[in-house]
Amino acid sequence: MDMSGDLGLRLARLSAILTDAGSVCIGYSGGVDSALLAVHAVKVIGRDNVLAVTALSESYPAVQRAAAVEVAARFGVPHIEIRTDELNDPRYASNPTNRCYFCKAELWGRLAVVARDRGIAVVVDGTNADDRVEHRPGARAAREYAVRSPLQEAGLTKHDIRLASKALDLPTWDRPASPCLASRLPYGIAVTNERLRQIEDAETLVRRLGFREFRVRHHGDVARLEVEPADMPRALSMAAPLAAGLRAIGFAHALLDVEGYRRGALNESLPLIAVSGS
Amino acid sequence: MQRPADRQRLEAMAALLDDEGVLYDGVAVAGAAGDVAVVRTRAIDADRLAAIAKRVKALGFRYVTIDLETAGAEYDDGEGKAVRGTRDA
Repeated sequence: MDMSGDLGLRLARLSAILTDAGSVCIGYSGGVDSALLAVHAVKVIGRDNVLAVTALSESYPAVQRAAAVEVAARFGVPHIEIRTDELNDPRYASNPTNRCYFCKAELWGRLAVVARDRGIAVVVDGTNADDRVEHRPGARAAREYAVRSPLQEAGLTKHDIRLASKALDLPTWDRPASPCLASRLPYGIAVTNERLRQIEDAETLVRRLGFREFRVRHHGDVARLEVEPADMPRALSMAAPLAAGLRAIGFAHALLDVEGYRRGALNESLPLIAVSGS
Repeated sequence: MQRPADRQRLEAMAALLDDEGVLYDGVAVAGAAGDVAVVRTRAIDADRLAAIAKRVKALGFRYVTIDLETAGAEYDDGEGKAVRGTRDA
């Protein structure tokens, strides 16, 4: 792939940022963004100056953990796992609209300690240039802990990151975005381990039926499935196994959203929550 | 338990579906916040439902859905023959 154009310039900017940092401790989920950041960092500043840290918790999908381990092992990224416990923070578990802030505050606080203990200069995350326009309360926590976002600073968009990942043969290059499992719960519905396991089991079921880009949203006793519009006929043709499977997981009702998958669909409720004050 | 406001929304949704010629067996409100509109239909009419989703949402719902339990289910075509999913075929 030709990296001599604008993308090449942005990647060169990324390299300069990492070189300037010297050593980085990466908040590493194994998703598209942090995988590229970690592999690129190893290429530019060497593995002795890179540590990828994955935070394991109830809201982190097992399938994502497997991807994180796979990429780190295959591309020689130094990698450790730590345990975080956001579910025991009632400010997080009550699922307010700024839930992500409390999770990220714990995460970055823990990574700051890891970095300090190992003499690593900078803690970084995989936020990209497209993330500026989204509702991201976790960004406040990153600022408070002086976490830098090299991909964003370099102006790399998600599309850029996928192209660069493909050029590096990263298996993540075309993987769907995979935010934490709590993002499937509408704000105000408490985040519990039981609900997170229902979500994970439900999404495993849907994935095994061959769907790739989708979400199972948890509305109490209701599972609301969002699939890509092109997959709607297939979802309807599989209505019976989907309904039976979701019922077996503990949902009383299995529903298919007619508008299909859209990123951040539960943020559609934000204005109404703000007005009601709930 | 169905609240009076739910009943009004459901009646309005049923009227809208009737006006649009969408085939359905029933409508319901679901979700812990009562913000999910459910259309129970054996017919596969997702495209038409998607086209009017905005108007259904304007009745006070955030999401418009098809009940997977009934979608594509077999039904009697009136002549004793089991037919799957395409009531309007």
